[in-house]
Parts: sequence; C-alpha cells; structure tokens
Amino acid sequence: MNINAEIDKPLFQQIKEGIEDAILSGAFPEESQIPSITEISVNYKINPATALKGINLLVENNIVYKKRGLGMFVCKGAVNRLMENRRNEFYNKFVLSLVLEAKRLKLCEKDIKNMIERGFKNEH
Amino acid sequence: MRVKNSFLFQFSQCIRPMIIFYSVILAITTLSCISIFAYESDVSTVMTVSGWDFAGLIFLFVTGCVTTSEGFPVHLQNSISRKSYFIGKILSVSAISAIMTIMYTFVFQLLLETVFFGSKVFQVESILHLFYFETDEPTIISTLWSSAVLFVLSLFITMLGVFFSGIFYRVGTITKVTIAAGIPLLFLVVLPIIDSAFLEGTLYYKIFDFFANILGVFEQLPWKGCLSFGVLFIVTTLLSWLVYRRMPMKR
Amino acid sequence: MSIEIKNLTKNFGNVTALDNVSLSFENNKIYGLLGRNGAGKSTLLNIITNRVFKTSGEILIDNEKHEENDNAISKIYLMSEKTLYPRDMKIKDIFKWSKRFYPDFDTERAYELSKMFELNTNKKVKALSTGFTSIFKLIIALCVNTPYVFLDEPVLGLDANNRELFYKLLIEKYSEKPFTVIISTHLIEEISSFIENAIIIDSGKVIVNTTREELLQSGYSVSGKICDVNNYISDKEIIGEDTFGGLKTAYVMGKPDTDISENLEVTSMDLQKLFVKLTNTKEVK
Repeated sequence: MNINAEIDKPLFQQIKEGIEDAILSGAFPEESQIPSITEISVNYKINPATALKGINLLVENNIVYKKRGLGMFVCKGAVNRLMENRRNEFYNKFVLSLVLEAKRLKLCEKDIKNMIERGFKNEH
Repeated sequence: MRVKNSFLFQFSQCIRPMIIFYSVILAITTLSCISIFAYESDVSTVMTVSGWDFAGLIFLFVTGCVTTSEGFPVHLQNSISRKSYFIGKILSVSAISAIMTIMYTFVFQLLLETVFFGSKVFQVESILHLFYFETDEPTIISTLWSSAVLFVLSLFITMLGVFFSGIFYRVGTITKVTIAAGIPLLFLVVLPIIDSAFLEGTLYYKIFDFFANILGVFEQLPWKGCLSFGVLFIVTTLLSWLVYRRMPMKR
Repeated sequence: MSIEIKNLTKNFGNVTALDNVSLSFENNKIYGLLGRNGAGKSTLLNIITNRVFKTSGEILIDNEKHEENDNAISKIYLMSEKTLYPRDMKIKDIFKWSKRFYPDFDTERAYELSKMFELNTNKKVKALSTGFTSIFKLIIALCVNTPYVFLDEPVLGLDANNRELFYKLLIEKYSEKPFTVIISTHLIEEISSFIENAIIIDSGKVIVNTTREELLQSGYSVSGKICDVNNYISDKEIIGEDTFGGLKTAYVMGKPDTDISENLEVTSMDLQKLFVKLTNTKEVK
C-alpha cells in the first residue's frame, strides 16, 4: 500500500483504501489482525489521528472491528461487502463515464462490447 | 528542588579546577622541599611558606569568572529560571569559598606542618594572620579569626568574578576586549604613571591605606575586615543580580 | 492546557523580529512551524522558553505567566539548533544531568536510542560531528517526557536514514502517549505527512495558522493560455504566477469555480508549493 502526502486525496482516505485493497487481495484474510494505529502511523509517517480517522471509516462500514486490548481484526464477510461496494463504485466511476464518452464518440453498445472483448483477449 | 540541582551543577563545575589547584600547590611544595633537602644536608633554618591564601583568592576570582559562559546556557537548556540559577550561584560560591578556606586553614597547614616535615623545618605563614596578630604563635582563636576573614574575602572575590563574567557574557566582543585589557592597563600602567608623575605616589598609598583600613589592619580588628568585606560581598551580589536578572541567551 | 501567545512583539534594536504575534498551541497536537530563514521561528521558540525576553505581549503556559516561572517553563523542552551544553561534557553526563533537571527523563531509553543511532555516549560534545550533535539533542528530546517538546531544525546534518529513523521514533512515541510537538523547519515535505496544524511565519508575522487539510485546500493552481488564465483570475486572490512562453500558471487562494473552462487545467498545490508561494508574495507584487 502506498501513501503519498503530496497527492490530492486526503491521507485518511488513502489509508482506508490501502487497507481495503489489502483485504481484497487476501493479504489480510477475514478474522485476521490488521496493523495497529501505531504501526500504521510509524510505517507511513502519518499522524496517528489521521490513521485513526481512516480506520474508523472501516469500522463504520463493518469492514474491521476492534477487540478490546487485542487490536483490530477483519470482519467476517468483509471481502464480500467490499467486493459489492467496489463493484458499485466500478459501475459509477468507470461504466457510466465509459458510456458517456462512447456517446460523444458515436460508438454504439455493440462497438463497446467488441472493444471490451478485445481488451479481455489482449490481457491473456 | 531546582535550586538544589542548579547548585549541584554549578558546584560540580568547580570541583575539577579545585583538585587541579591543590595538586599544583602540593606538587610545587613537595618539589621545593625535595630540592632543599637535596642541597642542604643540615637543615637548621626554618622555611616559611606563605602566599597560598592569596593564590587561592586569585583562583576563586578566576573560577567566578569562567563558570557563567558555560553554566548559564545549560540552565536555559534545562528550563531553569535566572532566579533559581542565581540562588544556586550564591550557594555554590559560598560552598567553594568555605571549602577553600577550610582546606587552607586546616588541611593544608596541618599537612605541611605535621605529615610532611615537622613544624620545626616548615612553617606556614598566613598573611591574614600576620595582618592581625603579627608574629604571635597561632592560637585557636587567632586561626579562627584569620580564616573567618579569609572566608568573607573569598566570598567577595568570587562574587566579583561572577559579576565580571556576567558583564562579559552580556557585552559584545569589542567591549569585552576593552574591559579585559582596560582594567589591568588602568591599574598597572595608567594610574601608576599619573601617580608617580603628578601625585607623588599618594594615590596608591591611599588605595592601599583604604583597603588596610577597611580590613581593620591598623587597629588589628579582624571583625572589622569581616564586616567590611561582608558588606562588599552583599553589594557585589546585588549588582550581579542586576546583571543576571534579565540576561538573554546569546544570539 | 495549552500555550497561549497574545500580541507578542520582539525588537532587537530597531529590527522587529516578531510583530504582534497571537497564537495558541493546543495540547497533544503536532504543529509545523514554517518560515523562511530569519522569519522569526527561533526567536518565537526562544521567547516561549524564557531564553530571550519579549518586548511586549503575554505568554501563558497552562494558564500561568511564563516569564521566569520555573514551574511553567519546565513543562517545555526546546531542542535548539544552537548547542547549549558544555563542550567538554560527555554525553552520558549530559544524560545524567538531564535526569536531574527533568525528573521524567527516561535514561534507559536514552541509552537504547543511542545504540540505535550508533552514538558513542563516552564522547564529549566537542568531539561530535554536526549530525551526531543533532542526534544527541534529539535523543534527549525523545526521552525527556515533558508535555511540550519544541524541535528547532531537528534534522540538521542528519543523513537520510537517521532522519527517517528519527521521524519514525517521534511518531511512535507520539502515538503511544500524545504530547505537544512543535517542529520548526524549512524542510516542509519531510514533515508534511504527519503534522496536524501548520503555522507559517513570514517577516515576524503569522500569515497562516490552520490545519494541514485546510491549508492544502486553501489554494490551487490554474494553467492555460495567458489570456484564458488572466480572464479567470481577474476577480481572485493570487499568491503567485509563472509564465512560460504563451502559457501561464497562476496560484490562486480559495476553491476553483465549478464551471471552470475546459481550456484551463486545475491542480492542487502541495504544502511545499503553497509555502513557497505564500512567503514569496512581496516579490510578486
């Protein structure tokens, strides 16, 4: 996970997304412990208050939970919930703008489907 | 608590110089004794050792002069107010004056007279003792009186050093050089010339006269010396406080 | 519990080093005190710690007047660029005296950190290089355990590894038990990720005093053709501009217009850029 103080996105948002990415990639499986606030802030040289703000967002969204005196753990079902959220985000962020741009370029639905197929093929 | 720590710090700054001072004195004394015994097989004359009390006073003046430039910044670094620092200073000045007096009066004299050579060969002469009691054999009372005067003199001289070092810390380099060179120049060159050329030596005579007078030498009253230099010590302390009270860190 | 500074002014002869500065440092926050060389950062810290006297104004440390007040000033440790310890003193003796003057000083930790930084505690102050002189003062600052720790140019002469180690140790200590930290520096990019508040001093005046996030959002840059940019910025507060051929970049305070023309490119400014632009205003105007 990469934290960059110089880019536009607030640091706490970057922390939140960084941990989400790690959970999705399987680096932090469900019911496993994630790094503490201290570890996160020392590692990324950020203020503990900022790290806490990012973690609190994850707690609110039921992605991680706190065990008193033990630390923070990934919730059961967190991967599915994240996947769901990210898929919605994907639709909003990429698909909608894709369609918008396609309309500008006078591409029809079929053209786009072909392009997508081409894209998937290229990957392999 | 802070005054105590400040005192301990300032006192500890003086311990090493004191040890060096006494090592030098003992080394010089020992060497001179060895050389005397080496050349004269039959020692019949009584040797007198004198002047170490005044050497001690010069040492104390220098000690008072040099401690501020390093001691004061340390106190600023450790969040000690000038007030606590100055009280610590008075305490440490008193402590080293007392130690130097005790060392001189008892340890040094006893060491020389008994352990080293026996009182017949070596005798320690205290200038202050001579002032007040002439050549009488020292008694407990006379020894106590002359060391009391030595103590008060030490207090004054050390505080005078503290005063100068405060001034030195505050002023710029040019003023510093002017004071350091000017004062000896004034007393050792300019005033003597004026004195001998125009005043026929009366000026220095009067200065010595004045000090002898306030020391109580004429009447041979040691308490007068204690009182005069006690007052001078208090005045110097108050003047020093004016210098240290709002002393800023050097830029 | 805070440090309150009200209308503080400091003159050195006829030079005004601080000009009617009012500030407050709240407890348990990390402040970045930013300013160019000679802006008045060190003077401000020296006055708060009773090393230098103010000309006028008032400073309260936890509601107590600070001047010549042992109780108030002993809550602060200032690690200054200038070394105030005796040159002939060994580092281990400095640790010993630090423990006496600051009872909460953690001697054991100081030796631990000395090992981490590879500092030889048997050396005298005068035998240390610039880097190690900074290191021994930083170690004391990290072990002194006062509620307020001021760091004036803390990483002077430190190599990249030691700078990194110091920042990590500082954040670790802060996250375990928060305290008030004021870091005065002109190396903004190094501290920009972990400061909570930023104070920018320019020519003895406080020109910015806000949270890091607000400061970052307080300005942006627009670039495009000169005429387009000029048109856009005509009614805005500009803190700087660069022209390059027919192109122009303007640094603007506030938030970009929502209906901004597609011919203009808007980017955010990082702290370093904002700082440079804000403290350069005189030259631009």
